[in-house]
Amino acid sequence: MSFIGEIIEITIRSVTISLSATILSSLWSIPLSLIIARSRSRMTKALMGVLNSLIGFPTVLVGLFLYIIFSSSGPLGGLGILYTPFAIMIGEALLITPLLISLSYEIFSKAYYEYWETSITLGATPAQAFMKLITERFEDIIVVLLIGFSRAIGELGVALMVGGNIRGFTRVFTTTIALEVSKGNFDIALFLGFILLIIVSTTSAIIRIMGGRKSD
Amino acid sequence: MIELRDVWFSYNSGKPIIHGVNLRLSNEITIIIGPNGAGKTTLLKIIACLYKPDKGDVLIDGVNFWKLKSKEKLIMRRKIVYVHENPVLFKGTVMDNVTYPLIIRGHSLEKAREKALKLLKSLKLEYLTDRKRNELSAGEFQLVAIARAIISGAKYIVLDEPTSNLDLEHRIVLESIIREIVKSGKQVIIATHDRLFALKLNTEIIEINNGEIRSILHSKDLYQEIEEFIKKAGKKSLNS
Repeated sequence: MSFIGEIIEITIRSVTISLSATILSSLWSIPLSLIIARSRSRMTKALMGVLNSLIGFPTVLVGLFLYIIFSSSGPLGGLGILYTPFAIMIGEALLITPLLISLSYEIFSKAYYEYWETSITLGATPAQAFMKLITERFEDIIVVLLIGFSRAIGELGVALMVGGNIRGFTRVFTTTIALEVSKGNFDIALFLGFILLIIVSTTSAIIRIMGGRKSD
Repeated sequence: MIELRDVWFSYNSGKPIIHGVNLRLSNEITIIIGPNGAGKTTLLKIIACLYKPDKGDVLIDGVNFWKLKSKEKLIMRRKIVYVHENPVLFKGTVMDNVTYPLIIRGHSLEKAREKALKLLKSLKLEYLTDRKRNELSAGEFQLVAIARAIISGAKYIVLDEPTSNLDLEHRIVLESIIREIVKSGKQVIIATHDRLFALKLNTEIIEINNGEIRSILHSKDLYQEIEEFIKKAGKKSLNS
């Protein structure tokens, strides 16, 4: 495969894995943040403190933890997902979970009284109220997901430890950059870094545009 | 009838905000008055079954709400609608907002729009039909939220400080809307610190302070109280 072909392949793989990880993480992070926002208990507020402190959790520790679980002698070794894109996706999804919960909580703690309570009192079922909350805060939720995506695509520890940096299979931006630096190919590493920067900057620009847009 | 039996409530399991309240709300209109921070909004949200009391029972038409199963709760909850002091309108037009309670109850969009238009006309608010929420004045915002509550078909309409954002013109509209609601056989529960508004509605007034019921009076008693206050104030200003 040509150099450009390989770069395109890595780009597509990196974006696909990180996007899937973001969507996967949102499936539990968003409902969980709503439950926490609804709660009046002190325990759940304490839980938010713990989750906030986990935002900066070292990625390499998440990678190590998953490596132990997914390795052949680990509890989920039988699934055979170590060194697959699926393993990276799960790792990234777990990594961004505290971030997504924390950011979604900020949205829902304000929007809960406004939209959830209003929908419920107007006769909505919890599912209808949840949908109303999501549609009313859709732009904000997309911004949260984009922030999560930026964090996922830029991480190295998980991708390296559970992905294994296998050429044509699990090689993503960050692992390729690390590999090329170790080989002394700084020009290739810089080029890949530049593409990663473009992706992250584009995401940030979208976040700013969406954040600045006023809802009608 | 809505009944509260020895209801206690606190936020985050802290200091109680509502202290052992016992209430029977059986009048067409009930007014709850009290200063800011007296616990009016919390009490209304307990009445509207939005907040679960730490202790005590909330009975709606004789049924203990918090002992019901989820499906039964939904049916019971649809009997009560609560309108916030600063109401929230959803994205879209006034029509989208007013049809929402009908859509979630399974009405077709066409039928819902028809009913909504009829209601807006009867409340003389049809000129707002196609306006978006950011195109409404504070008073119009409040009236649209009340219209949306009315269309839900709830038997009990709970209004939190409905006059707080209204000018004189909209207050008159609100009064006539409340009288229309009562005429249609529904019950209205209003929290306000606006004693003049409470007077005009000529009904039972529950006075609350520090989360406790201080007294239950009638508008006539409140009228006397205000009259005495004015007399005293007049004497003081003459003496000084």
